[in-house]
Amino acid sequence: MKNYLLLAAAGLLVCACSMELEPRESVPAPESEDVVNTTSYVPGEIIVEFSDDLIAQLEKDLQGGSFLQTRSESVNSVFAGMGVTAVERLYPDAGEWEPRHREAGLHKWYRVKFDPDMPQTKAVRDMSGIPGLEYAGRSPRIQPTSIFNDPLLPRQWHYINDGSCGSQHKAGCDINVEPVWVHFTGGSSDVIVAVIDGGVDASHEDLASVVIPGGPNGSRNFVSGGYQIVPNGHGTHVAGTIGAVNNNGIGLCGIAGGLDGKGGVRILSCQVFEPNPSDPDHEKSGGFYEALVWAADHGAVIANNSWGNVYDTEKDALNGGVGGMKGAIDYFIKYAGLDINGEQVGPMKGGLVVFAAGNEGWRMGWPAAYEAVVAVGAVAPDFTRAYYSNYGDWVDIAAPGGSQQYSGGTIWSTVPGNRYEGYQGTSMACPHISGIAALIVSQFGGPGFTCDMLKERLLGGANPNVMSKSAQIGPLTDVLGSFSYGSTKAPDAVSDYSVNVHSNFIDFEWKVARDPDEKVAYGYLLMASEDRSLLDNIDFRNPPQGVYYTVVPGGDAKIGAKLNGTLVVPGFNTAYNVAIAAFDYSKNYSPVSAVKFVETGPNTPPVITTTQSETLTLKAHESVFINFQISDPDAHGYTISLTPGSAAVTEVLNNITEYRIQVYAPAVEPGKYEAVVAVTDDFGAVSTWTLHYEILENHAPQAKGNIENLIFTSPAEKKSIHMGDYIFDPDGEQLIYTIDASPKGLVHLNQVEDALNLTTMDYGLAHVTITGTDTKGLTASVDLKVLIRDPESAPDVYPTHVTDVLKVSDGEEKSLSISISNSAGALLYEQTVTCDAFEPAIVDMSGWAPGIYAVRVVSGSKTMRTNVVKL
Amino acid sequence: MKRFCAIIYVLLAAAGLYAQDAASVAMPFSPLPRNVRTLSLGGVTAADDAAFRCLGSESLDLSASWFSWAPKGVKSNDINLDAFARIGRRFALGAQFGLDSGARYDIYDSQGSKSGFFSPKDMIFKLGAAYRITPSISAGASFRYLYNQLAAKVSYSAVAADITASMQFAGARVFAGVTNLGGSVKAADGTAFGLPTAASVAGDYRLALGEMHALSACAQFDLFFKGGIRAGVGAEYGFKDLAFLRLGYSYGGKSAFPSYFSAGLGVKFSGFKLDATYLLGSTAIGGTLGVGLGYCF
Repeated sequence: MKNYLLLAAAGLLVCACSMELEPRESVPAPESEDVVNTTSYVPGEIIVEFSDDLIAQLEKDLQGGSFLQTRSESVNSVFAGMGVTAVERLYPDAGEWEPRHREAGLHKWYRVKFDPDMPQTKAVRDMSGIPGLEYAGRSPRIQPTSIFNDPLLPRQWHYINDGSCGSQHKAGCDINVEPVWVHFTGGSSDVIVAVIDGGVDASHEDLASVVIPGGPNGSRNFVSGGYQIVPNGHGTHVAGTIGAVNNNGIGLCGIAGGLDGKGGVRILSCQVFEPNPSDPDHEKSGGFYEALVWAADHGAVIANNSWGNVYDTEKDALNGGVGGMKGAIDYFIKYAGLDINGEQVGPMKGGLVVFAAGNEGWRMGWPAAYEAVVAVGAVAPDFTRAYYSNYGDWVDIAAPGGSQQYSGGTIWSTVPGNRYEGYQGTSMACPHISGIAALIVSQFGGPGFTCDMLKERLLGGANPNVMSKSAQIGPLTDVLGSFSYGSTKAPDAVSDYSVNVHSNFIDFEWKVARDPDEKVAYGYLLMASEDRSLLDNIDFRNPPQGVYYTVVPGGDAKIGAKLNGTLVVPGFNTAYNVAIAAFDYSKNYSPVSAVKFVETGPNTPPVITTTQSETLTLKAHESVFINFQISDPDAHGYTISLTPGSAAVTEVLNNITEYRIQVYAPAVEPGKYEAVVAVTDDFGAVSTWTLHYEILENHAPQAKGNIENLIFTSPAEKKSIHMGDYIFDPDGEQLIYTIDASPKGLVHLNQVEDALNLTTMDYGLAHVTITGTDTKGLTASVDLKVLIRDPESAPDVYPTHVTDVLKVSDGEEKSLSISISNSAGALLYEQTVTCDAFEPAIVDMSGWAPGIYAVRVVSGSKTMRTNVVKL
Repeated sequence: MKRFCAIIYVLLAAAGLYAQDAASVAMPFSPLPRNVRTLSLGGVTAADDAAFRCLGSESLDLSASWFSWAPKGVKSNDINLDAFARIGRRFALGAQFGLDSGARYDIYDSQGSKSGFFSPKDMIFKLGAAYRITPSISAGASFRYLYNQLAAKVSYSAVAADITASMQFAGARVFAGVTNLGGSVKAADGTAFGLPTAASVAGDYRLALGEMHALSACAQFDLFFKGGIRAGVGAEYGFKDLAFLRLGYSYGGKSAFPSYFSAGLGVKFSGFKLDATYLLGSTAIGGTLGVGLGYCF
C-alpha cells in the first residue's frame, strides 16, 4: 500500500497538480496458502448424519439455533472445540413434503460450518467421536457441470454465490452471470479491454491467450517506456477478473473469458505501475494520461481503471476534481473504437471508461466521480457495502469487491507466476463492471452500437432492489438483467403440459419455453381458478382474486428439457381450470397455455396410530410413555395439540412424524381424567385420540416387625441386607431408601438398589435407621442396632462421664458382678446383674456426688477395672 | 467406762439412723490423712491438727510424703507437704498441701465408643492456727481449700473449716472438734452435695518403758453429719526414740470411707525422720504405699 502511495506521488509530480494517483487497494487473502488442500472440499464445512435417537434429542435445539447449548454434552463439547458457527439442515423443511422427507431420513442430515482454518480432517475426526453420529465427512466442492471446468470457480462467489463459500454469505449476492454464460455468450475476442494498471502477466496460464503482447500496436509500458510489460499482481488480478480463460480446466474464470477454453475478450495491458527493484517499497508509476489515449487509439473500447487520486483527508477529496485526466477520459469516450478517420472499426462506437470508487470509506473519490465515467462501488458477500468502499450518489453501480471480514469473502483472480489469490477493494469491483461491459459489447456490439447504448444497458439492467439505499453505491450489477434490459418480446406460450391431481395438489409437467430475445423463459406461472374466465384475460402482474398461482424458476434448463412444479389450491373435491404462462427476466409474459380442467380430491384427515388402548389405570407412583405415529395421507402439513386433562400428562416428543406423551401419576391426586391428542392438517381436517386414565389411591410404606439386630466381632466384616425385608410398600412401588447411622465411623453403609451393604469399621454400637420413601413422600422407618465387639475384650463400661446412669455390658447375655468405690476407697456399690448384647446393665448414679469412681466388673473369668466420672 | 460406752452406743445408733447414701458425699478425699505416720496409725487425723499438736513437745515439724494411693481403686500418686510450727509459748500454726495426680482414664461416650482420655487431679490446701489457752488446753481453727479436676472443663472446688480443741491431762491428750464444716458442690444436674462434715473425738497416750522403749496409742471417732461413722485406732512402739513400729486399723462402716489395716515403720535421728506405711485389708485402697521424710525438734 505504502509503495503504491509513494509511486503515485511520484507520478503526481508529472501532473504538476494537487492530485495523486494510486491503484485501488487490494490485499491477498490468507486462503491462498491452502488452495491445493481445499480445492476439492469446502473449507470450514462438513456433512453429518445423526442417528434417530440423537436427532430426536437435538432437533429442537438445532432448529432453534442453540447448537452450542444442546441437550447432548458431547455434541456441545465437540462443537465448541471446532468453533462451530452454524448448523443447518442439509435438506431444509419441505413443508407439505416434510413427512415424506422424514420418512426417508433426510431430516437427520446436517451441514456443520466451523472455523475454516481448522483442518477438515480433524473436524471429521472430532465429530466422529460423538456417540450416535452415523456419518461425518468433508463437504465436497460441487460445481455446475453445465458451466465450466475451472477448478477454482467454486471460490468465485462473486460470479455464482449459493451461500456455500462462508457462513456470512448470502446466496444470490453475485453478478448473475451464469444464465448469460449458459444462454448467450462468454465474451468475444473482437472486444478489447484496456487494463490501465500494473503490468498484466501475459505468460500466466489462465491469461496467455487473451493478453495482447507488448508492441507498437499492443500493450505498452508507460512507466519505463517501451513495450516490455513487467508483471504486476494488481494489474494481473484485475485482468483475470475480466478475461481469465474459462473452461480450460485450470485456474479460475473471467467474466468475459469465453466458453470453450480458448478465451473471450482480449486484454490490452497499459502499464502505469511498475515494480522498483532498487526500492521495492516505492513502486514506480506514470503515464496515466497517455495510457488512456493509447488505449483508445489501439482498439480498446473499454478502459478499466482500478486506481484513483490520493488525498490526505476526505475534505480534500470533496474539494477535488478530475483535473487533467478529463482530457484523456473524454478522448477515450469519444474516439475509442474509431479509426483515424472517425469511422467505427471496433464493436462499439466510442469507449466506456470505468473507475474504481476508492477504498477510503469516504464520500468522494476522483476521477471516479467524473460524471462521464462509470464509478464502481464495492459490495460485500451479503448485499452490504464493503466497509472500505467510497460512496455517494456519484457512484453509478455496485459490484463485488470482496471483504476479508467475511470467511471466503475475497475476490479470487490471477496473479503472476501462475498463481491465484483473493484480493479485496473497489479495484476488484471495477473489473467486474469492465468484464460485464465487455460481455454486453460481445453480445450486442457491432456497427451502430454506441457507448451510450452500452452504458444504458449496463446501468439500466442493474438490480436496485437487493441493496439498502443507505449503501449509496448504486444498484447491484446484474448481467442477465443487462442482457434482458429493454426486452419486450415475451416467451412462447407453453404448448405441451400435463396435469396430475391428488388431494388439493395439482402437479404440472411441461417443456421449457423459448424466448425470442432471451433464449429461454426465465420462469413460469402455474395457475388455477374455479372460474375459467379469470384465466382468459389475466393480468399476470396482478392476478385477480380467485386465481391461485405459484412461480417456478426455469433455472438452467434448456429448450426441450422438462420442468415440473406443484400448485396447492384451497378447495377439495373442487373443479379447477388450470394453465401455465411463461415469463422472461424482463417480466414479459407469454400467452396463457391451453386451459385444462381438473377436479381435486378429498382432504383425508391425519392418521394417529398407537399401540396404547384408550383406557389406562395407574397406581399413584406409576408412569408410562405412549408413542404415536402421525401421518397425513394427503401429505399435508399438520399440527399436533394435546389437551392433557391433568398435570399428569405432558408432551415429551413432537417431531412431526413421532409424537410421545407421558402419563406421570405422581403429579396429580387420585381420580379419573381424560386426555385428548388432536392432529389438525393445514386445511382443517382433524383427527383425535382420547385417553381415559385413572390414578389410584396411594398407600404409605410400612415397616415389618421383628427386626434382628446385628452383631459383629471385628472391623472389616461385611454383611448385606435386603431393605425390602424391613420395609415394604403396599402398592408394590420401588421405594427410595435413605440410611442414617449414629455414631458415624463405626459402620460403612453402601446402598446398591435395594441392598444395603454394611462394612464394620470400628468397635462400638451403631444405631442404623433405614427410611423408605414412596413417590408421594410418605415414609416408613426401621431402627437397627449394629454391635461390633471383640468377644475377648473386657466388659464395656460407659459412659465414662456419667450424668445419670452407668451402663455395663459384655456383648452377650451374661451375669456381671459390679462394684464401685469412691476416691477415698469406700465401696459404694456391689451388685450382680445380667445384661445382653443390646441391653446393658444399668447402675443409677444420678444421686451420686460429683467425683471419680473406680468400677470393677467381673464377667466370668474376666475382671476389668476402670474409672468413671460422675459429673 | 459405762458412760463412755453409752455415748459410743448412742453415736453409733444415731449414725445408723442418720445413715445416708455414702455416695452422696462430695470430695471424700478431704479428711484423708496427708501424713505417713498418721496413716499408719489407723488414720487418726487429729494428730495433724494444730491445736492437738500445740500440746505436744515439738516446736517445729516439717515433712514431705509420697503416696501410691489405691492401686486397685481410684489410683493416684499423691504428694503432700506438712508443717507445724510453734510461735512463742501459746501460738502455733499448721499447714498442709496435697496434690493427687489421678491415673489416666479412657473416655467412652454414651454409645460405648472411645472418644479420648483424661488424667484427673485433686488438690487440698489447709491452713490452721492454734492458741494455748492454758498449759493444758488449746483451741484452734483450720481452713481448707479443696479442688477437684475430673474432666476437661469439669472441675469443682469448695472451702471448709475445722474447729477443734484439745486438752492434756495425766500424760494423755484428748481432742474434740467439728471438721469439714462448710461448703458443697453442685453436680451437672444442679443437685448440691455436701462435704464429709463430721464431729470428731480423739486422744493419745504415750507410755515410756524405761529409757529404751516406749509405747504410744491413739484413737479417733468421727460421726459424719450426712451419715455413717468412722473409727480409727493405732499403736506405736519406739526404740530409743530412734526406730518405730506402727500398726493401726480404720473402720469405715457404711460411710464414705473404707475400713483397712495399716502398718508402718519409722526412723528418727537428730530430728530427721523417715517413715513408711502400707495399707491392707481393703479391696480399693489395699496396697497403698506411703513414704515420708521430715525434720522436727
